Amino acid sequence: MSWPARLLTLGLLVAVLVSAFGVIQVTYQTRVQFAQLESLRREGQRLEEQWGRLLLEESAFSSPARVERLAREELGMSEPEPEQMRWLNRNELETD
Amino acid sequence: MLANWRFHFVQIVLLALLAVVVWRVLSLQVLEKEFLIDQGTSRWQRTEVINAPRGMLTDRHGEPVAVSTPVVSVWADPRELREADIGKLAAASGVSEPTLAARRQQHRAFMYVTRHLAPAVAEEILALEIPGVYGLTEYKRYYPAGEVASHIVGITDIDDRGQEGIELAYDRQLQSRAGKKEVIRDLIGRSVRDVGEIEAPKAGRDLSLTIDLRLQYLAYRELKKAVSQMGATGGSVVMMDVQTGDILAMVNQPGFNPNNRASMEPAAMRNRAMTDQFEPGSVMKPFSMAVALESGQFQPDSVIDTSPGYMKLGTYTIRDFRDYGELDLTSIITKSSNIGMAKVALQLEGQDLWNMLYGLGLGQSTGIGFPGEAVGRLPNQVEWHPVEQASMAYGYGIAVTPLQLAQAYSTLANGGRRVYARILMDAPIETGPQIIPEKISRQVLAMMETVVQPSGTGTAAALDWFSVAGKTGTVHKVGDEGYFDDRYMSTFVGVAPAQNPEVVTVVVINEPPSDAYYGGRVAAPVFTGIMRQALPLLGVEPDQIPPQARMEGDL
Repeated sequence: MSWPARLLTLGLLVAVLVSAFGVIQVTYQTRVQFAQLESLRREGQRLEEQWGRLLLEESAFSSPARVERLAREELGMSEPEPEQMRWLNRNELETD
Repeated sequence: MLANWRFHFVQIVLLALLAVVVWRVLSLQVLEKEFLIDQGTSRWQRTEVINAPRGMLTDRHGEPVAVSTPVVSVWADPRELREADIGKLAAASGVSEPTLAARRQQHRAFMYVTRHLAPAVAEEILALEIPGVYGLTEYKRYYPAGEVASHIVGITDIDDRGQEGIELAYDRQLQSRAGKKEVIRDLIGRSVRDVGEIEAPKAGRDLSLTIDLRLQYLAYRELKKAVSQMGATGGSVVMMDVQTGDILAMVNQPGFNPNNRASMEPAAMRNRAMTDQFEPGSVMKPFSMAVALESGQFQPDSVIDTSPGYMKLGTYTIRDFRDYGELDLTSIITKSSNIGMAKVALQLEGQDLWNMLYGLGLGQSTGIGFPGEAVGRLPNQVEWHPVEQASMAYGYGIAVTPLQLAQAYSTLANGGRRVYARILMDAPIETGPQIIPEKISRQVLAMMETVVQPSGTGTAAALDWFSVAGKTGTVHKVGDEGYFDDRYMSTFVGVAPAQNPEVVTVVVINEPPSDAYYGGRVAAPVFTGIMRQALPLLGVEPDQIPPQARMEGDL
């Protein structure tokens, strides 16, 4: 075998080995990262769960029916009667 | 020779054995390779489903009205679940032993134990480590607004598929796509390591509705109060933004709680504002007036003699509430005179009346794609007979839904330019053709303003701070044997503020008590109850300031 041919063979051998280890490395990385992704997803899921619960809680607490009941019953508020309302004319106040 | 024969015999036997071995290798390595590998991996690997949440529904300001939250369903693989463990599983899950045993017999590879548990509760069952029992994350739909928005939002079934309302109409957009992943499992079947993802899960799209939850609540509260106080069988309210056609609120009675499946009755689940059509009656008069004004034959002050308060039309006799004598066109609307309207209509072209109503979207779907939406009824005639022409002019012989009515009045209030109902925020706002000339639409609104003024039929709809243009309507309900004497539909349609219209509100009360059934008495107060709070909420500037509200020195 001539030198260039030997060199080529050696080069190819090295390349094959490198790519083989590369494949192993990449497969390993894929698994590690997928495991990471899954654990992040679980974390995301947990947060999503919490967010959903808080969202529901928030909308339950801020529902118009509850706000109205609290305002009327606990805070003793009521809608103003027409004779209690006054009209503040912004434009006239500004020109004064 | 003998030795030679024995040699051949041994040779053949050995070759045969070799052939057997080669065949076996061939069958293992080539012919059954995939099957065997599959079987092998299935011993230690499993494909799991990754569920993703369904899209969230919100109101126009982002308040949630339908939310999916994660829950855990416990399932079992009947092949792995031992009969001896069933008792333990039943005790932990609260499902009866015979039920579980039966399910184990019925299903081959997958059976639910219990569905939709709170994650912490499911964790307790899974912590028992019963072989063949697993947890699966699913999503459960919650409706924070509950009964207030239930008709428009609709519901889903336990598998997260839309069943009613928007949930059904836009199911494709809302639906999520579950993904798949491969996991390595241990001896008792618990996944120990994730290997790879086959298909990524995809969450459903979030959608914003055009409703405003605050207005929705106001409408719900007022309608429910009115219907239960007077003992009517039901009712609907639709509020629409005049410029955009946005449905700001849509409520019906009776209602249902979407979070409690046990309480649901099919009749209460109907979104009556869209699925139920009724004969509109007098609320059609303003549109007929628009045709009359457009014809050039009439002016708002043209006088019609309505004496003696009844009139024969074909085989029918139509009546007014009383004999109003001579009325101008405006007063015909103010008093809601059937005879006045019929006499005006008889001088018009029937086809013009029909074209107007058709142009306003009656007798057609609104195109928002709501399941079970009624299209109404607007019969066209080859030849217009006086009876049909006159009765159509005051709203008999046709059928509309409350939503179509809101859409038609929005067009009138929008300077006569056609408005298209919209229910999703990302739907385009369409600009329609001019249906009613702008000048005439103003004249008609001015006529309708007299309805809520003293001597009108809808005085109960007057607001302190805002001008209102409205129209009342009361019709006999139609049954199998013609009109009922004592069953009514009462309506009120209001536009506010009348000077610069922002909102159209349609109130329909179904079968109010037979001693007080006029639209002006039954439906108009609901309008007032909603609008006096709704207009300030929307930031609409008052256009009518009561004298006592003026500050000293401010004129």
